[in-house]
Amino acid sequence: MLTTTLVDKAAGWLERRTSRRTFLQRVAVVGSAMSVSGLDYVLRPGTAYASVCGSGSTCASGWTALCCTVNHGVNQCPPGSFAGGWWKADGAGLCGGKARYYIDCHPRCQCGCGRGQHFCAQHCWGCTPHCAHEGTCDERRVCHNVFRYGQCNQHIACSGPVWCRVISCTPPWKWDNCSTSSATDDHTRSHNAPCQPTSWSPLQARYRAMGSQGSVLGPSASTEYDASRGRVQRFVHGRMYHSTATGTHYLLGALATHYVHNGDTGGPLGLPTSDTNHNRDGQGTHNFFQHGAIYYRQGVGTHTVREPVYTAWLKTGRISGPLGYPTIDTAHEDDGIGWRQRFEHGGISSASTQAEVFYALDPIWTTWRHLGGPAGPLGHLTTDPLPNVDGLGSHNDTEHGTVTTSPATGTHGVWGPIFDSWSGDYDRESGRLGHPTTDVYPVDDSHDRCDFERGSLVLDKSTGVVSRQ
Amino acid sequence: MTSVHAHGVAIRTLDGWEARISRRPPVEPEERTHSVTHIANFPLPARRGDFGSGAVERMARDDVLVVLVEFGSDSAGTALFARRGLPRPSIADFDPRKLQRTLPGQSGGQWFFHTGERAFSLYVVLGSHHQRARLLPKVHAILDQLTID
Repeated sequence: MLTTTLVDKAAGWLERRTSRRTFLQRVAVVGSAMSVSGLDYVLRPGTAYASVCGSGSTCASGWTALCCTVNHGVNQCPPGSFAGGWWKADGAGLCGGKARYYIDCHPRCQCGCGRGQHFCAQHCWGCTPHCAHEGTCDERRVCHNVFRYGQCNQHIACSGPVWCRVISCTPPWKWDNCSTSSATDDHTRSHNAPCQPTSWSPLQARYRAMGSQGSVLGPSASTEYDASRGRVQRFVHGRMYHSTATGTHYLLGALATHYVHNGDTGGPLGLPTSDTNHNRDGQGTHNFFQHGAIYYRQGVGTHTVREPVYTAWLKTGRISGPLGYPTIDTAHEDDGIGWRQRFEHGGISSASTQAEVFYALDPIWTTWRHLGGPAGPLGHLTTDPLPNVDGLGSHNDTEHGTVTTSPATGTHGVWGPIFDSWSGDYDRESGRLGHPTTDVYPVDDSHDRCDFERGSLVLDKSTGVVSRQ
Repeated sequence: MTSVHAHGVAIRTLDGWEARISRRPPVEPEERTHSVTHIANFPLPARRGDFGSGAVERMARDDVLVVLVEFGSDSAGTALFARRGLPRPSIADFDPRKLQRTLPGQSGGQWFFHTGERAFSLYVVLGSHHQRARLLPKVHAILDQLTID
């Protein structure tokens, strides 16, 4: 309550001196400063931005910078360094009131230490002492303090100074080669940087529950920030999203990359509604979203299935159904209105977002698309696959005809007046003419023809009359 | 001269010196805590980090802080703790950068060692690097009063 009141008063002071937009941005910074530094921020001179970094954030303060500040935003030891030890600060607000862990990274020595010495000479360090100069408030020292906590990688007896510090809400012995022998320093509780979360949140709670750096997401690669919808944080192996409506869920690897390329939270898929999970067949991974899914399978790639296609695919049993995996993303037809998507064993099509959605299996799908799909003489699909009445093969009807297949006669499209006659006068596949053995094809400028097992039908386009031959 | 003895560590303090031997309660089920010894020739603050934060900020030029932090016995056989017995620091060991927190003027030194099956880090902070030759005998004198069971 005290914190809330102080934030309110600080924000009010700012409001009287700035525009509404700038005011809102500064309120967020003030809130973060309060979360990190608490009363330190209120009672000591300095800006809210500087307080995001907590106490002792200047170079002269003598502490070491956070790794995310000097490691491209990634909260892990830089290449060429190793975890040399750790300590904790108890009761840390940035870890939900529990212990916050600090892991020192040391450069591997490029030459040895003297006898009985634990630290090598500076020319062996592989990093250069300096003050962090990345333009943030974390201006602490880098590669400077020759000191080691000592609980991690104890097989390495000789090291350089502390390069930088990794932050975690999960004990380091659970995700690095460290012992459980603890050291404590509550004075560092507020030490932070803009590349680290500045408040405890559902997203941070979930990350800790998953094991933080030891989780499938790995180390964080950004702070938590606002997305088009909800909140997001980047990690080495993926991303995690949170919204009140959909909860907190993570995406890994290619799925996260594909989601971002498809518009992220502002795209057509909406927010994630599941974590990345293994596919039932064990051959890939997937995520569900408010309006679709992304599936990955080795050899097939990563593809989005979105509405209106997704619900139809869901009804077929998704990857366990007859269509199998998507092989392209959901896409518009050339008319910019209809939808289509190719799957391993067929496809799904819809005339528009509002229209009914149908699927077809190969070879019918392939034949229909080869004949022009919805833009061809057959028009849009009007049924899912249906068994032929004679029990030989199956068909999908379309706006202007059908595509039918049987083992003996192959797959063919029949449309227009010829289809009407074959269907109305000859009872289709189970009738006197039997299955088609060709598509409808032009004989000359004024006649079309289709051959069947037991005869042919010819259309005189000048009269519209269909006759049997 | 008074004696402080706890957790298998004993120190007979010289006049003007103060010693604290403590062991924190663990906060995680798997966490293991061990003895932490702070010895100083200046008043130790109540709130101190295990390696002396909270105290080093108060040090004057003539002040000395000796820290002995214990690790689990599984560390005793590792390369880092291969050194045997309590070290005896020399002037050459001290450097203004050998500090957990590098504060202007101060100097520090750190050693890892084992004795028996117990593993330790000895960390010494001097209030003045320039005065290290004068302060080192104080370090030796107090270390002579330190025993580990």
